[in-house]
Amino acid sequence: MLQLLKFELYKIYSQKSIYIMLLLILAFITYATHFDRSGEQEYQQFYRQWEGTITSDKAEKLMLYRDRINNLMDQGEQPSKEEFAVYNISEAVTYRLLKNEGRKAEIKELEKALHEAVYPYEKRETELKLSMLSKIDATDLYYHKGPAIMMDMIYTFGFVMTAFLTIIGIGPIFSREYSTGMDQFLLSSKHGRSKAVTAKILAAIIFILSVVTVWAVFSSATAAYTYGMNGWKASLQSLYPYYLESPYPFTLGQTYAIMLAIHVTAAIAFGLVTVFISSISPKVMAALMGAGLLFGVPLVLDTVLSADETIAVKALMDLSIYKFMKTKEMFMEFHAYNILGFPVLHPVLAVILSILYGALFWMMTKRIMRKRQISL
Amino acid sequence: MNLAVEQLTKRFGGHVAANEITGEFTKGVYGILGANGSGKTTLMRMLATVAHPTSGTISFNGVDIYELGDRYRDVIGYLPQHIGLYKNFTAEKFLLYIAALKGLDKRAAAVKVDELLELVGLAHVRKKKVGTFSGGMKQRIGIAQALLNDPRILIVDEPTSGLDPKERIRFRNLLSSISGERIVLLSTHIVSDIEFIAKEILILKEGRLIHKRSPRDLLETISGKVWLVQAAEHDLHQYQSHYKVGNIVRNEKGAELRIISDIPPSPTAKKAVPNLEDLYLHYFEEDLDAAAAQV
Repeated sequence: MLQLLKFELYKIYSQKSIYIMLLLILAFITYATHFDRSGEQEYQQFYRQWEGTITSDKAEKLMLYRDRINNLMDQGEQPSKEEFAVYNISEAVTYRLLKNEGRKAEIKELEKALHEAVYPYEKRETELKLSMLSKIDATDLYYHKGPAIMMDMIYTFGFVMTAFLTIIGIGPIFSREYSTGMDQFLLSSKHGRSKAVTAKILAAIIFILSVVTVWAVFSSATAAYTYGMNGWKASLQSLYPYYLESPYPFTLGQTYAIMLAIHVTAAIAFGLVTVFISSISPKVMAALMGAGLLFGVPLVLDTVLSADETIAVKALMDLSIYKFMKTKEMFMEFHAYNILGFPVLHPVLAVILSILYGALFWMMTKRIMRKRQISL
Repeated sequence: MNLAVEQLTKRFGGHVAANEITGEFTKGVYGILGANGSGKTTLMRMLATVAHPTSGTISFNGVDIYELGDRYRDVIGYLPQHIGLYKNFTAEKFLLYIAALKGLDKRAAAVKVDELLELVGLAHVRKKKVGTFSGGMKQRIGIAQALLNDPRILIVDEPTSGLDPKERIRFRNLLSSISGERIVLLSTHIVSDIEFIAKEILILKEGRLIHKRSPRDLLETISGKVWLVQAAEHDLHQYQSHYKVGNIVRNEKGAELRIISDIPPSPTAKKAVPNLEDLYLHYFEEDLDAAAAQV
């Protein structure tokens, strides 16, 4: 098995197209996310004095600072870099404090709703949300651009890169065997319908893990160089604007680890679907198009047509591998599914479904290859 | 050791590619002769398990091969008609990969690959990419991969098509030297491939098995039907339109024709000893030109 795995890995990694695609995407990311490093370091220094718990004393000082800068601007004067930075900090703190107050009010409402809940599911869901909101501690402030940009990478370039490279790298995994005639050797050999198929699937998973590792390392290296690695302790709610109202009581460090884990699980599921598509596609182009559509259709619906999405389409999209790989929306709001009377959070369901999708397509690929006849 | 096919049929929609073929194979070389589209490749593919029969059975030592599954595939070596190779693999890497597919462990595979590269005369190009190989070299790498697991059943489908005469002789000798303790099934439409090495010849026509006999018995079926006729140049066309004409040898009097016919084509016709080419012509006249071009 190990020998077969090595050969399958060799076949995948010897495709020049994956390196060309990788370099193109990395070049694009570098171009698109180019920032002024020295400016950021200066900004980080301004931030330092305000970091830590947002005390009422700090909040008061920031409000006074902001009023002064507002007055300056009203008089037509340009604030200094430091003044501008502190102005931004004061804005963020204002929002956070407002949201913290709003959360307290929501907790009270939920306690009341829990008391009045009639149905078991309603009660369980309210309890879950209440428990999550009660654990949130969003009273601290940190400069967190490094972690923020790494999280951003997952749901912007990262998941697209995983998908594109999976399509190009894994799409031909079986269809190339068919189109070159190599399938005749595979199908007539002792392990060609069994262990070789498992080896291909494992090689696909290893490839996907390597792709995620490459962009995660790239993103952490660029984030560390440009912004530093401070802020992992900051609460998820400190990420403005997407996660200001998130019900998840996580730090940025915890969220990043969870998001990456969900992304990897979903990416593996996507890889296994791609392997299956390849196993039923007689031509490489058909496999590439099949896997491309699987990712491309939700991508188009999500970006171009997002405003026109119907409830049914949104519900379907929320359970798609595409959304699981993207991970972003799952942590923005409370969204639980009623599974046998118990509330299951969207990220948890994403992991469960990804594993189920992956297992299903793994088994289907094995079945296809056991029954496979050569294309005539 | 016994390989048996029983009422083996393969349909593609309305087309019957193999029609109720029944036969038994034991140790030795079997030549499967037929024109293009006669069902040779379909039969070979079914024997190699890369195509499944629509009906009928294939059994090895009395057990259905689909019941045996990987255990059956473990004892076969298959050289398909059109070989697909990974162009960026070296000859050695390609064979090591196939060895892994066949379940050979790393050490045994390395030894076997060395041995087979020597046998097929490709040891000196072992590190060359197979994408740069000639047709003959590809066929040789093809036969090497088929032999990696020391198969008890060797299935080779049209192994010499596309090879030049020198390569074909080399291939024939190679096959003859390795055929020892195996069942070798060799399909071809080139009679010289099997003339001297086949224990039995199977003649397939339009998916049906017409004959399965030793070459001598088969030749017996056309004994007394092969004639040599000396004809003038202006009579050639008439003979060709009325008889199955094989070889035409020009000479100073016109041409000497080799004709297959139940009755003497002319009063001066002389009987000739039949050979497999005559046999082929007898059954596959329409494919003569193609066969003659390659013999």
